[in-house]
Amino acid sequence: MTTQTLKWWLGLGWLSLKMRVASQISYNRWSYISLFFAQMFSYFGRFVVLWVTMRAFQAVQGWSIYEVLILYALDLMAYAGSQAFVIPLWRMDDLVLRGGLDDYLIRPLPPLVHLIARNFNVGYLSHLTISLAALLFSYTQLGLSWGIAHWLLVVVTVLGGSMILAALTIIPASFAFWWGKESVSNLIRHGARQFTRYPITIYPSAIRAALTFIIPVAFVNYYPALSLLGKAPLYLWPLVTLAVGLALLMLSLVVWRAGLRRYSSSGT
Amino acid sequence: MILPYLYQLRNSLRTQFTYPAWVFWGLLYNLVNVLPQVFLWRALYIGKEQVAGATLAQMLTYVVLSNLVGILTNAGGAEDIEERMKSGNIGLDLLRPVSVRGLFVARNLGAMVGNLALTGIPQLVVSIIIVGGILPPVSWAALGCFLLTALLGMGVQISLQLFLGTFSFWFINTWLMGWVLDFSWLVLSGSIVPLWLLPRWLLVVAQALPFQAAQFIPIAVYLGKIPLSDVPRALLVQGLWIAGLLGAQTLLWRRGLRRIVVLGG
Repeated sequence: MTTQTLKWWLGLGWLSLKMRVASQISYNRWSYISLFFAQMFSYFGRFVVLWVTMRAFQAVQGWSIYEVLILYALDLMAYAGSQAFVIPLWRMDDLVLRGGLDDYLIRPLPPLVHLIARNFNVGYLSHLTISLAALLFSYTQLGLSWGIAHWLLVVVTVLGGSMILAALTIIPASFAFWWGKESVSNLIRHGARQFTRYPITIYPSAIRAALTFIIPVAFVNYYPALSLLGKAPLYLWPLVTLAVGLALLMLSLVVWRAGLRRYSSSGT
Repeated sequence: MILPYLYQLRNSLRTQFTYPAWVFWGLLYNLVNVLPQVFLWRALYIGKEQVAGATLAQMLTYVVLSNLVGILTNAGGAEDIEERMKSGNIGLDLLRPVSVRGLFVARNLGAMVGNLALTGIPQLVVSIIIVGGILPPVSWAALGCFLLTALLGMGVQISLQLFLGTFSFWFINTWLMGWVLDFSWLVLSGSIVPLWLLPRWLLVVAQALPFQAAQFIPIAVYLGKIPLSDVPRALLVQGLWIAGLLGAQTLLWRRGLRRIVVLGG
């Protein structure tokens, strides 16, 4: 692939993305604004659940109430940062079974890039807002003072975490190419993250290993939080998270391509 | 005249049994829901005998029962009405010589019973194995009252769903409402955190709303957190919610019917 074509792809992708955002915002603006607040309220509830639980016990495995809130905030930011892009893959089996994917195959743009650009979801701004608020709230409650490098590592963490969660959506979605129907993606996307609301030291080593090596969601929040909260060397885990994210994203693209080669339209 | 409703109940029960694969996925979801909670409470209780008057064994029993009651009261309800409004099927429903709401209740009851048999019982067994045994009810009477309050809890849930679904007459997105209600189910119903852990002001809010009457009351009765002497009061609360929600729904329904326009067919 030459840089010329890559530029052209990205240019087209960007154009499609801009159109998508513009159409989402201008069409029925009020319904978007109300959805924004409704979703924020719902996720606010999840933070309240953590707060209420931790309030009665004060700490779990040496993590205070606000440190646990930061864990969830990091996870939710990465979730928003990934799903805003890969949300069209949630209905991958439908795209494959009904042949909706054909639409994306006949464009001068790689199907995955086009799929992402055309279905970009602005709604995840609400997740981002509430988790950023939770992070800042915990930051002040813990009396922290982070420098610029520290904040940059937060960005690196969220970036790496987003890549991990995007890959963990793309890989199971690609299974639809082989199986037609797939039911594991939701389980991986939501189920695995249930385990990382609290520090993973609450689990026996087998579960910890699974969250690290098999479905590596622990890199989204637990490990980088160790660094960010001074429980481990500052630069270590955010950079590992970024590396894991890049590697996993590459792997997911390989799986996607292998699947796409098998795709033969169901036709209509 | 009860026959059509029984048919509807049976049909919706049968639908539940059409996809046996759901049992498997249901069990997996249950595992994923219960496991983290079990390990969390175990870790939280390290070095603590009692927190807010509850022991670890009580807390783990709470997790298992909350899961069970959640399955029982978890019926799609409101979306069902909205879907009928949008597709225009509501027009057909209204033409039939049976009550639309009666059919709704029958459908939901069928789904609940199906859920209980198909996913509830297997999940209960799996959860009990994960947790390593749960506490028995504090007494035989408490067990009876648990079943009774669970039944009324289902009633509260169905009435609530019917009430909410009726708003789709006014094109209020029940999906949007779902996000708002999410907060209530998470925080105020007792589905994840028992109400005894809530701070005072939040508890007041929770008790002023119907969600805890569907979810928390039955479990609290089982564990003896609501003593037998207070059960009549709990039953009254549940009964009042059912009556109140159904009453309000009837008013809304009558107003809504006057402005309904069914397109196409």
